[in-house]
Amino acid sequence: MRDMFGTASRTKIINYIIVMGLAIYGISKKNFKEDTTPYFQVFMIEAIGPIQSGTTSFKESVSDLFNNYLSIVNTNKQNALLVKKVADLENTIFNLQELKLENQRLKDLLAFGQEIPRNKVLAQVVGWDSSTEFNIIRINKGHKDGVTLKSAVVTNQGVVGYVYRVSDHYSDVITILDQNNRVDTIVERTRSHGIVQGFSNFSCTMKYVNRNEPIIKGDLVITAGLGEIYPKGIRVGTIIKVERETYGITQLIEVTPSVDFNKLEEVIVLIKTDDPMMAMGNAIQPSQASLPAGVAVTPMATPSATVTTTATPAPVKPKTKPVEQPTAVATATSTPNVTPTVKVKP
Amino acid sequence: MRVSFNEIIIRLMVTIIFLILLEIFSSAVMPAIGFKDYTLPFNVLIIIFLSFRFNSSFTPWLLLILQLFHSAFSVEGWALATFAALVVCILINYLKDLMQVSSMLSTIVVSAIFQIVWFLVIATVIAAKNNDFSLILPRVLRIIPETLGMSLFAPLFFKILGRVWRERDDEGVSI
Repeated sequence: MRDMFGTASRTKIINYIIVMGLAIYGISKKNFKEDTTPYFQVFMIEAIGPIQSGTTSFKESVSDLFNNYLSIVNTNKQNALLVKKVADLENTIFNLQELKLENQRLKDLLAFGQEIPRNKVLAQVVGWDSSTEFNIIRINKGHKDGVTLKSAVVTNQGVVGYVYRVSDHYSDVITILDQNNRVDTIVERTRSHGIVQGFSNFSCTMKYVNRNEPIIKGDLVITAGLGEIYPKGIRVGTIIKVERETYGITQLIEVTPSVDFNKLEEVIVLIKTDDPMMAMGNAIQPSQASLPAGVAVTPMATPSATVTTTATPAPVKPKTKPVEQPTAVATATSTPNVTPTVKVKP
Repeated sequence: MRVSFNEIIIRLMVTIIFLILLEIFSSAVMPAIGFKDYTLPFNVLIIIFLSFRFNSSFTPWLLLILQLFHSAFSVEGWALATFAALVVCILINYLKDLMQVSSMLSTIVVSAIFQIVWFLVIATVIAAKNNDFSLILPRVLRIIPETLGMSLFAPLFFKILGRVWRERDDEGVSI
């Protein structure tokens, strides 16, 4: 023992044993599916969340600065006035373009999942888990906004994950890329059941699919609706690899998520409600402060989408888009309560 | 070099602030500028530094406190990270005399090795909890680029932490 600890002392060994015991006890109590957040962590998350959020905003400001001013530093002095005007206009255009893009993204999100009987809260991604082993994102909505544990988190592209832990104003979402997240899914074309589990930063594996199922590359994977987290029929991803080995009863399937996690900025939290009818009419309510800070959604292309941060909230009409199906098949799966539409982009 | 308990507390607080700043950099700044696929686990480097340089009976408690703060940034949690930290710390204590971290190259190599040990421990415990050991190897292989990236930071990092812990010789700090 003396060798192991160098200048070993009894106190040192006792300390190691106590802390190791605490750690092992903590690991034994740790649940990778759902976590109760201790007060210390709630305090830390609440304290750090604004800094992470501020960092994201700061990046936007720096980006503005870089794009609009640094590029014209070397302009001729004689043209300074003109350049300033151009810069101002460019700045305005850039801001308008950013607003337009943000507006479009938010409108797409608002139009998504109108038929799903759950309350919806729009949230902004403010941070990513600092550990390599976990694919977790932090969003700027928490208990105070109505977010509860195990609420599904989606975008108009598909499933993002579910709420793993919640503080008052922030929540951690365990994404489908995380190995601890398992989603009950079906292959849209063959209706074959399987479990999608996170594998790497850009792909998942689909397990327990019978090797006789005629799965092919390019098949669409959607949520099965079993379990109590995800509604049925939301896109999970596309099959990119199928391997049938000469032994075993299942096949090895690799799935690429339909959500582009590298470009994830806003998400919708789907919160379960006891009254499905109420949730059906529950468009994202600005009065619940569910929009990301400083973001206003104004009608642009479709006048019916009338959600603003100042006006009385009105239900958002679903934005109907013709379903385009070049190769994959788009269907609407239905259950007694849930009728989501699966949109397939070319 | 022996230091008083009060000095240790002050140095620990500075290290915690340093850790928080780095965690914010890793969890918010880096993703904001496009580095979302790779995360730099700065807490691991701090643990490796303390294991090498801080020779005290309070070391396990220091590791526990640092991991408590780290847990605010990661669902890894304090328990799992502390367990990995203790395993790495014990290993380093055991092997310290056989290794030199005086040159830049040796610091990079040694920190890379112990980062891999760290992730191996974490992956194994998670696999044991999930009863699925098939993902251990792919996940450990996946973290190698990050490990190498972090290792390049290690000499500078150890130098900064050396200032915080006011190292004067190769013997490190003890109380």
